[in-house]
Amino acid sequence: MSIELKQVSCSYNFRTKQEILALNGISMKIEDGEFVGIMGHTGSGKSTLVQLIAGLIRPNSGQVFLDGKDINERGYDRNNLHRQVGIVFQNPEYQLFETTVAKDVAFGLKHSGLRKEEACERVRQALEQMGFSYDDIADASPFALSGGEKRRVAIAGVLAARPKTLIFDEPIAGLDPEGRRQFLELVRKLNREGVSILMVSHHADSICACAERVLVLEQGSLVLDGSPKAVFADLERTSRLHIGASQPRQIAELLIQSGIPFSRDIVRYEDLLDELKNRWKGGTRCE
Amino acid sequence: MNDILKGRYIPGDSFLHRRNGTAKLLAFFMILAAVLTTDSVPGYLLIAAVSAAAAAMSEMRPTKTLGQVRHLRLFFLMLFLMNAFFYEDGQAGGLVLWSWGIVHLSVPGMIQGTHVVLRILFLMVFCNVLIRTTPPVQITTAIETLIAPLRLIRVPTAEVAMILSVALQFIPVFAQEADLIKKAQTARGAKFESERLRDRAASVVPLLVPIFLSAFRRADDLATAMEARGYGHRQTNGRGRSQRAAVQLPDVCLFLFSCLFFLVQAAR
Ligand SMILES: Nc1ncnc2c1ncn2[C@@H]1O[C@H](COP(=O)(O)OP(=O)(O)O)[C@@H](O)[C@H]1O
Ligand SMILES: [Mg+2]
Repeated sequence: MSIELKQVSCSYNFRTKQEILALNGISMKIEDGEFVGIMGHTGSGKSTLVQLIAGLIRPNSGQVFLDGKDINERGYDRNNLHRQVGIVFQNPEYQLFETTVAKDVAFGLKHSGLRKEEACERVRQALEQMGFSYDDIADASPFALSGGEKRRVAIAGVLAARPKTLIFDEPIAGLDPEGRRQFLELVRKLNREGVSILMVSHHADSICACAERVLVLEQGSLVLDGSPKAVFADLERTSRLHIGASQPRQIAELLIQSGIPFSRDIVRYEDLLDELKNRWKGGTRCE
Repeated sequence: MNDILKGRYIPGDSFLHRRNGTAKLLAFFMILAAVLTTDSVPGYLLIAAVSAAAAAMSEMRPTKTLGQVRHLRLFFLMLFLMNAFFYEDGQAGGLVLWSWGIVHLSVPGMIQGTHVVLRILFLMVFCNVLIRTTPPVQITTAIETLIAPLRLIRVPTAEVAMILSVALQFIPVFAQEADLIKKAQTARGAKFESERLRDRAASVVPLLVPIFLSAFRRADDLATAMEARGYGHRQTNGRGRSQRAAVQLPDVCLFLFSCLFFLVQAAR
């Protein structure tokens, strides 16, 4: 589904003395099936932006369109909105509450009007997508699981609704490298299956490895919007925006600084490898 | 849940903002007593006048003093109806309009219901004024000062004050966390804002369980952190008390006026 924002501004404590302008006149469009990374300094408005798209907060001015329809208009079917746009917050495991894993995952399907067998099938698939065996885990208490398992169950609870757009707000903060790798694998697979992904993260490596497009926020404004290569072309700028750069990009920069002619068009390890291979074959060995 | 945040302290420099926390708390208690003893129309008019004065002294718009009352209208309606229908004296002397089993709609019951609702309304107004003009730390300091004499009978007043101040400091944290959990469950299909009571009731559990769990988690973390920094290994009496603002003449006046208010209400 396409997402379009037109001149969206959003304040907390609107019209009081403590008013905070969290988003300032954002306009953008995200097409069906894109994988978009969202970066920016803490407090730059990333969470506010994704919550607006998920319809959890309303803008003070401007419009948010999903598939061409203004979601904040009177009469817009918000239940349908919540089914189509799923959001996973930083510690999704904190939202578990049911007595069994299966019930918790099925929570979002309660009002969907699905038949019981259909709902059950979706729960099974969602759990299997998250790497569980349904029969083993369905009747376990979510609170008896390990931290990582809880998190995967919680994400299954969002997947069960089969959203067309999935939003992740800092999903990999606090994951170990292996957990991170598995998680990224999953989102990439979902994206390949046609789900649009919006992922907020401070981790430039992960964003560069997955996203085709990166949005960068600074103090509530959208300051950069482009491919990872374009966004990370100028490292002084990225460091000013507090988004850093991926390891391969930093390696390339180090090589350039030490006088070795090297491409700046490198954000992923694959890019780095390709460049090295090219140079090796071309015979210009880096000294 | 955001309502808790909205009812918080609002920085400012009004007359009431500048008053000593202890004086304000004492005045609040006197006013509380005054409100609870009121049961006549002139009495309520006087309270209304005093609350208007409190709003003026705190530079709040009078409508703001009502705070989140709007959200509690159902509660007030229930309160009124319970009194109107179940007031015991209904059978004794008062005029009973309608009766069915143990349920009696009586005039004294309706009057009683009106009293209860009005008193709670006014209490909320004063409570709001107090909370909006006094930082939480000052409130705990005030409580600590007021309960200090209890140390004579071995009540650990410093600990009590510590518990209160920790609890107060956690309110905004919890409000934020509750807000996030509410959003997460809404995104999953919970219906907090539904018009139907059934939907709302069904969405209580998905909210309460995670909030309780997060409270325990936080309490546990905090206990560990406090222990790691040596709390509990030492005598804690007298520690951790914040500086107290000096008592000025207007503070005393504020308190005396509230006493006067109480006496006037009680004497009628
Ligand atoms: N519930 C809230 N109440 C008041 N201010 C908020 C709230 N949530 C966020 N803010 C403020 O809005 C701004 C943007 O926050 P946020 O969207 O959370 O940024 P990010 O996710 O990029 O760190 C920050 O200044 C933050 O302090
Ligand atoms: Mg955030």
